[in-house]
Amino acid sequence: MREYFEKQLNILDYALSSLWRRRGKNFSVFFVFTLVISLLASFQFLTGSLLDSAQTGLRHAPEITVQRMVAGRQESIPVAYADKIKGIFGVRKVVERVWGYTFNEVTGSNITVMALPHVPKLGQETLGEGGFWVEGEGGGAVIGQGVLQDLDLGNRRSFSFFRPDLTLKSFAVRGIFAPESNILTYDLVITTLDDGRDLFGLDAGVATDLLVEVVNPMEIATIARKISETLPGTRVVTRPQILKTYQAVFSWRSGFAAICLLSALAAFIILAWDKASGMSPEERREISILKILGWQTPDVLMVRFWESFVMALAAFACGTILAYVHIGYFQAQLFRSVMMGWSVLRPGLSFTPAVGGADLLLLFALSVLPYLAATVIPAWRCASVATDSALRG
Amino acid sequence: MYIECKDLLKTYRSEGTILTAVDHVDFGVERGEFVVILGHSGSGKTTLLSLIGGLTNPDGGTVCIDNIDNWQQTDGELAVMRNKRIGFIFQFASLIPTLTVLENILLPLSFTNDPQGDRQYALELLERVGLSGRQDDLPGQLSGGQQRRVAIARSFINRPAIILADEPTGDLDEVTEQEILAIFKKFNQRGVTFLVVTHNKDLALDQDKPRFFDMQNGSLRETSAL
Repeated sequence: MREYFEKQLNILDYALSSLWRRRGKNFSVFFVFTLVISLLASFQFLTGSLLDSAQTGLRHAPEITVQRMVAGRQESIPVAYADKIKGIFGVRKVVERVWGYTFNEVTGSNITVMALPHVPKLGQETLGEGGFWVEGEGGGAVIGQGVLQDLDLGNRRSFSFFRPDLTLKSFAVRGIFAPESNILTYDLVITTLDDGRDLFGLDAGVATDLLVEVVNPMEIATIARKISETLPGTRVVTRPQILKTYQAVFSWRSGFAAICLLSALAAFIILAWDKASGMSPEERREISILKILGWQTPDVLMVRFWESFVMALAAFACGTILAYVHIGYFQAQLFRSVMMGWSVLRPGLSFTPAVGGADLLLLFALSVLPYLAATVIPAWRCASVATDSALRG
Repeated sequence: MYIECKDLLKTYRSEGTILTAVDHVDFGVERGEFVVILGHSGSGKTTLLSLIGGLTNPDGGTVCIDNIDNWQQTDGELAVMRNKRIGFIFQFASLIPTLTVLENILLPLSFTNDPQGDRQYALELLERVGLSGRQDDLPGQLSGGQQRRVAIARSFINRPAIILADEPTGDLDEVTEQEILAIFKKFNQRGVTFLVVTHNKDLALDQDKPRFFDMQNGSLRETSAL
């Protein structure tokens, strides 16, 4: 057993020195391979980041949202609808919500304002700084990171928005959302129901939508169906549906991009195959000399395997690190618009790369394994050539 | 017999015709002999060496070394035999251009476990072939004759029992040729068996009791003298 390991170490040593001896050619291959892997990994990590952010935000989102639809458009919903919903078995609570957009002409961005009748139940990780307003207190707000920057608040902790009649409505900042929840809170202002109605000029008897909390989360779909049947003019949206939508949108975009990049990867692998199967006369001669000097075909293959494995592993490691830096530090500048879509370009969003074991395994299987096959199989064919060819020059 | 060939046959196909490179050859070599096979180029000398060294399959006949039939062995066993018992000197220098002189010499010992001892012996051999101090050079920095001397040093590194040499002094000047032949003589006196293919009849002049064979069109016959 010891002899076997010593032999493998010697082969590895020879393979590493062989890589170094052909460093010019190998560095070019390494560079291109790293680039392709980093692009592929960027999409993978970015999709993970977007879905993680969505899940973090949705953890405290309403289980069911009910909106009134008129002629295919959303209209204000009467608060009285809540009584009918409360009558459905399995509904724990119904809460009215007011929300809308306010346009910042200075930066050209939209800010979402959401008003609730009570302080939302949010985890500490969602709220980065400060807290919510005290119950019954008016004029307080919790804002997202993007609002802080968009309104250029700096150290100030108050701001104003225009009402429909162009008078100013002022808010005091009580808290700021954490960057981890940016995908849902970046452009968000949360305030009290009275302040929301005041800002958007709504009557006391209506809301933008109704939020339904259920007793058993397993019954969300059933209760949603019952609400649709009870209130035919409404649109009922469930939390799992929203998450599925996010997954579908981001996975579709990521998948589309991945297909494009996989084509590039496939082209690279085919090139590697072509290059390896058409080994240079020097390489064939080297294999022949090694075999004459007593190396066996498996030894020659092991050398080629280690060369390719070290190369592919190094490219894989560098590619994934580059992708991480691209997403985390450079905020996915290359694919931001592809993945986010133009509608959410303003306000912006800060990405935290999400790297899972399954993602890395998938990348490894898509890049390293095909490269190994593309280089070792032709070497095996070459190692089977007549051993005496070097004897003849 | 230490090396014994019986009814050895090797043919090649080329554009529909069959060329007989080795034509039913029978011959034997005792341990420690110095055998010279003479013949013009294309007479089948190199193919015969290939067959004896276990590099090419024969179409017929047997090659036995120390009573073991080469072609009854597995590829792995043949490789081990080449690695442990035979030193090859190729018709061309056959060095790996990206390895240094020392690395080239040590190549047959890639799987041994005494790197320090091996290195010392390699340097000693390098000195014997007149290239001391050139161990870190690449083959491209050496002349053709110097490369040939490195290849000769490499053939002795595994302390082989048999040396199969194909035109070993082809690129060498007269002085170096004499030095190399002196080395051959020294190793031959220590019991190493030499099988040398050449068209240089003077090559064996200084060796102790050499035997001569003449090869023509694949057939081999022993000649008594030069």
